[in-house]
Amino acid sequence: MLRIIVRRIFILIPMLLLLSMISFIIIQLPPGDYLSTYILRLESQGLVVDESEISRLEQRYGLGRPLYTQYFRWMRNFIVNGDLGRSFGSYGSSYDNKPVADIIAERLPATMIISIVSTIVVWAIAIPIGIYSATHQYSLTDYLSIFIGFIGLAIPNFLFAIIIMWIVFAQTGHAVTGLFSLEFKHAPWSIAKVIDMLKNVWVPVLVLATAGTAGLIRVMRANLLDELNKQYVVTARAKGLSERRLLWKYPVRIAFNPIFSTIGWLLPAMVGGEALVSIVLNLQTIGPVLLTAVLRQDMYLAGSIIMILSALTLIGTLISDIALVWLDPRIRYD
Amino acid sequence: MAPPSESAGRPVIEVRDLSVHFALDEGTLKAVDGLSFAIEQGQMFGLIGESGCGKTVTAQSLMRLVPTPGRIVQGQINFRAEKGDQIDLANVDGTGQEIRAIRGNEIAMIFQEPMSSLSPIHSIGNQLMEAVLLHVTRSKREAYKIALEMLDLVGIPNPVQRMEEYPHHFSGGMRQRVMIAMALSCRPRLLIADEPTTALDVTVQAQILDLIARAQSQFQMAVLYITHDLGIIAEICDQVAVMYLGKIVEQGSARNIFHHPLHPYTRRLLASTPRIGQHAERLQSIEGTVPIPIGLPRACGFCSRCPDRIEGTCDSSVPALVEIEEKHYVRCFLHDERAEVAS
Repeated sequence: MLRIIVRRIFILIPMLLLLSMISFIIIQLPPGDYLSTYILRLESQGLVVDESEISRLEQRYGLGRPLYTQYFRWMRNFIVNGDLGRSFGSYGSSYDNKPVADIIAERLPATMIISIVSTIVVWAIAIPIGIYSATHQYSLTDYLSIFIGFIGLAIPNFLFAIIIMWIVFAQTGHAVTGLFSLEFKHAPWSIAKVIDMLKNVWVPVLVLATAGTAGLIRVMRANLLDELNKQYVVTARAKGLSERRLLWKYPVRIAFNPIFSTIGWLLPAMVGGEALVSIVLNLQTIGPVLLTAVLRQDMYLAGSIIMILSALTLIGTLISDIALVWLDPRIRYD
Repeated sequence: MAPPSESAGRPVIEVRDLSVHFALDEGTLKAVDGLSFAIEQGQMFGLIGESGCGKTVTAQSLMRLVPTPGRIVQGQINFRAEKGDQIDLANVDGTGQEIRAIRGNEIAMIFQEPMSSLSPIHSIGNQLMEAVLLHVTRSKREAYKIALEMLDLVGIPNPVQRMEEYPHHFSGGMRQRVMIAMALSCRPRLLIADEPTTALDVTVQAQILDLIARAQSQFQMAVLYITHDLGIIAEICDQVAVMYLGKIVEQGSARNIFHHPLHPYTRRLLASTPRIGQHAERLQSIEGTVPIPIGLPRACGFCSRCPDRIEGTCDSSVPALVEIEEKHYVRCFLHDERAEVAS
């Protein structure tokens, strides 16, 4: 078991390196580099270009040097200083010319919180319903859960978000927008800030969880239905185990495994799925930034976000693989 | 009309007029249709028949494991529990406390598919100790000891290490040994073996068969052995019942059935088995296929395939199971003209 984990971690290192190279290639794809865009922008605003600043940046990012030198500089800056380059941000947005690392650091925690909380909510709702649906196949409750699930799956997230905002505002006068109230928006993390976040975070969580729940109910129900008819369930029943005990010990445990293997995809799926919701709800998450960065060819920002997200996906996959090795002895090779 | 069972000892289990029906969209499927038999302590009772004749459903009903939409619609399954009191298993709650206390404890079962009968993600020890912990002892150490003894008993080498291993480390024959160990672990009074050697290759079959026979004489269990293999029945069974379309068509001692078969179906079943030393151009087979028991007319079930049928009799009423010779029962108009009374 330990050997598999160590081996998997060793495999992860070249994967991450490859990933950073691909991200860097993406950054380099559009014509021109960061510096020429920067100079162009300053000139268009009629500002004097500071030669010493230019040569300092040239030195730092290895601009004008061969591509591999630039890549190594970029990686070195990232590993040593946590510097991923700067955002072009020439359109008056809040991340004008800010270091990419700062933008990501600012937005990644909120993204992950929403992602993790909505995943927990999805699992907490979908798994029991899926189990009930499978054990009561073709019952009224089963059909009802399928029906509600499909509605959840069919309503576009952004529309659902708008509807909830409207309902909450119409009923209470509280505008649920953003993750924090104004007074906490720029405050450092504290217990009061967490409480404030909890007041707002349920809306995006609810919206994102609705779609996820519907899908997971289907998966859990199908997985469990497959297992319920297997011979080992009859064996367990023939031992005199009660239905509830044998259900949880055998088929449910085995039906869980495919679900655990999807942990790695949660984050990218959430970032893709929440972009529209975040825009509607004005959330400070990664999704909208990635969208605008790509639209504006803000390549250090876009490339870095892609790299960080992919890295997190790889780590998520590693975690789910380790979980599976632990859960399923068939995967442990001797 | 049931064969009486007052013979030697008192029967461990006595099935009376049992019917199990499946309500399907196509109609009511009569998987088991008025079945009666009894098995005494220490007796090996063979139930034989083609696929789809209701053998497995019979076994499932004794354990109350008939899958939905199957239902026991009539009859009794009188089981004499260890304490001596008799329980009608046909009339207890199918998931209740009463039946669960008997399952795996006083009645245990070995299944046809050793490859899928064990959970792939729980260790052999875990699965083996489960029934013991449920019925025999609460102490894990004691359960471990019993499980270890059982693995040793069924001839699994290196049992201490094997306890920690998982089913995918075991071959089919070894898994079936584990299943037998599991079934024997609570010293059942009745062991149901539902084609336990069908999925195994021939050399392993002989070992498993031998193991079951030895375990039976050691624990003095009643055994219901279900198979479609006549050779096995001949080798190990005392009493044999031949089943066709949910009914017993012939029942008697193994000796009688093999040397003096009376029912045309039994005769053809025996003729279709190849014998060593007998040269045959081609194997005999029984013409036609087993009908699906949905909405069948009131007639002998074998009528459509029977070369000796009496027109006007066999196709208009159901023959009764009659004792033709001592302890030899046949359901056929060729031997007795009595018909079963319409219910």
